[in-house]
Amino acid sequence: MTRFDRIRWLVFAVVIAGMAASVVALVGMRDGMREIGLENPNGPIWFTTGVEYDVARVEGTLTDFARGSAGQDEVALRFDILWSRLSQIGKGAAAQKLDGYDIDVTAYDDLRALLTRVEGQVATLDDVARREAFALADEFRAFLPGLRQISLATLDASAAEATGWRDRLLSVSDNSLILSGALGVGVLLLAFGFALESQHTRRELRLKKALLEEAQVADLAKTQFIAVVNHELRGPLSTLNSAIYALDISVGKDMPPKFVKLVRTARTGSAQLTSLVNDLLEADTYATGQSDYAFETAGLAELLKAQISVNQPYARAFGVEIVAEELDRDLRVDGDLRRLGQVVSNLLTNAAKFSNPGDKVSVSLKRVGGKVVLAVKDTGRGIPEALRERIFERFFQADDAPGRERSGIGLGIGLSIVRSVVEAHRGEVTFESTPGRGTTFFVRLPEAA
Amino acid sequence: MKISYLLTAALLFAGTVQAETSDTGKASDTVLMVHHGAATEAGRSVAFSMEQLRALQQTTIVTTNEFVEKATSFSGPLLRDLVAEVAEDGDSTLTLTALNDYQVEMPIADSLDYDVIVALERDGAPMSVRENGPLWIIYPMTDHPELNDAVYSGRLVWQLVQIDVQP
Repeated sequence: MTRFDRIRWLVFAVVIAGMAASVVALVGMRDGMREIGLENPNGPIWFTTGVEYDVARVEGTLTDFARGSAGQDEVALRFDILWSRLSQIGKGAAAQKLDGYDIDVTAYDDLRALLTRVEGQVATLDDVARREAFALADEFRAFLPGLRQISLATLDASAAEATGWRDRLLSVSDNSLILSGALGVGVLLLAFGFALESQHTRRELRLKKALLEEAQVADLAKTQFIAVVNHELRGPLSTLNSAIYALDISVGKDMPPKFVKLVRTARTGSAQLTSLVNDLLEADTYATGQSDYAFETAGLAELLKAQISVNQPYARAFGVEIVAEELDRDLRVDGDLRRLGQVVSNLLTNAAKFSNPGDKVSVSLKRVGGKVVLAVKDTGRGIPEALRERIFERFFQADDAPGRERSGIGLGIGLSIVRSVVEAHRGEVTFESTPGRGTTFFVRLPEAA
Repeated sequence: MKISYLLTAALLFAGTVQAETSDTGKASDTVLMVHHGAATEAGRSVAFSMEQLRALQQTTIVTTNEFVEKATSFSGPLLRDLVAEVAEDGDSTLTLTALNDYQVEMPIADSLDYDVIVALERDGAPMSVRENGPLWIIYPMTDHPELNDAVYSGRLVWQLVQIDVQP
């Protein structure tokens, strides 16, 4: 995770946590606000005004009774309704709320005491007692201001509580607003970050693509160059070869020895040049993936013998003799003989090139562990430790190699061709080398069924 | 929910005292009017005496609510059976009126969704006016926890005297 990613996650987490906190606060407030809602018909304010109302109706009914316009039963009903309301106000949710408001409700106790005191009087009101009813009505009327006070106090307390909730709601709303702002900024920051990042990525991709295209163009140019060079070289070379061959076969005893020697040297040189140009062409076909193989089942011993005699003149030019040590004639492989010949040729010329004059390059062909193993051994100076990993690379040359001075032109592609061809035959090529003592290359190929 | 409580209070203080015809003494006296149409309109009415209400199928509910201190047994006829006496297709609202002119509206759906009763008895005994009787609308709140809400508590009309069935 980059530093940028961490910041991004941090912003995200803060925003989410803030939103969760405001949701919790709002949910917590909802229930509390519902309790004090003025529309709640069982809220405390309805109770207290209800008592006022019922007291006023008792008082009014008593006055009507005193004037003769209402009966005793009506007074008793209003009295009972007030009684029920007063007994209800002492219990239930509204009563708890009133207790919580800490309002002086002694007027209710006094009113209860009055009801109990005049209960008998109300039950026995009759026509002669109508004047008495006026006095009773006065007693009830006297309560109204005190009850009004309770209602007003309750209203105040409810309002104060509602204001408290409103304030809390406002503060939650303010916080939500700030949070929304922060959320907006956070989202903007994140978006900005993403935009920057994607722009950066796009630029990098473009750059990489351009580099890749450049490299591909360069590689193609190189390959095409090699192909052209090949073509231009092979024409004159084949003319040269034919001429030298014609010269060589017409050399007679009457020719001066120096002339004969010069013709032989020219023939060796042109053979070497042909081999180099062929290598170059092979390397080109591998590079462009155009190489194709013609497989057949054949014995390797014959091929080895032929290659030894072909490359012997080249080796002798270095004062080196190629010798066949142990060739198992029964070993057969499925392979492209021309390509395998090239492999052998490359290994032999390589070994000769890096040998000391008077040395021998020995070739053997054996079956080892179910595989056909071809070994080319020289007693030359060996491969330096530092270069061992790279000798199969294309165009690789040990630049400081003194062998190069003696071998003339070297392209550094011989071993890369060896590896390509051997691998195309499902085989492998390895070597053992001791600096100063020599190198042995092993080519392992599957034996033909 | 429409509440005409304040309005009624204002009318009272203006001196308009409605004459009541309640005599809770005899079982044959009318204790409940079930009326079709708004309270002030003429319409088909069915009057019930305590005797008639007791003759209907009785349902018992054991429940708590904001006005009782513990689980209490209430019994009486189902509200929907009383409403069915006058209800017509398309009716949706009941206006419940109490002795002290407290009024509250409730949807008829409540009486169909729940076994709402017009309680005649509390713990097996009739209720006096002082005990919030003689008729009290009771919802089965203990059996249906979703009813424990101020909206439904407001519909627990005690000292019920009239039901107006309206579209």
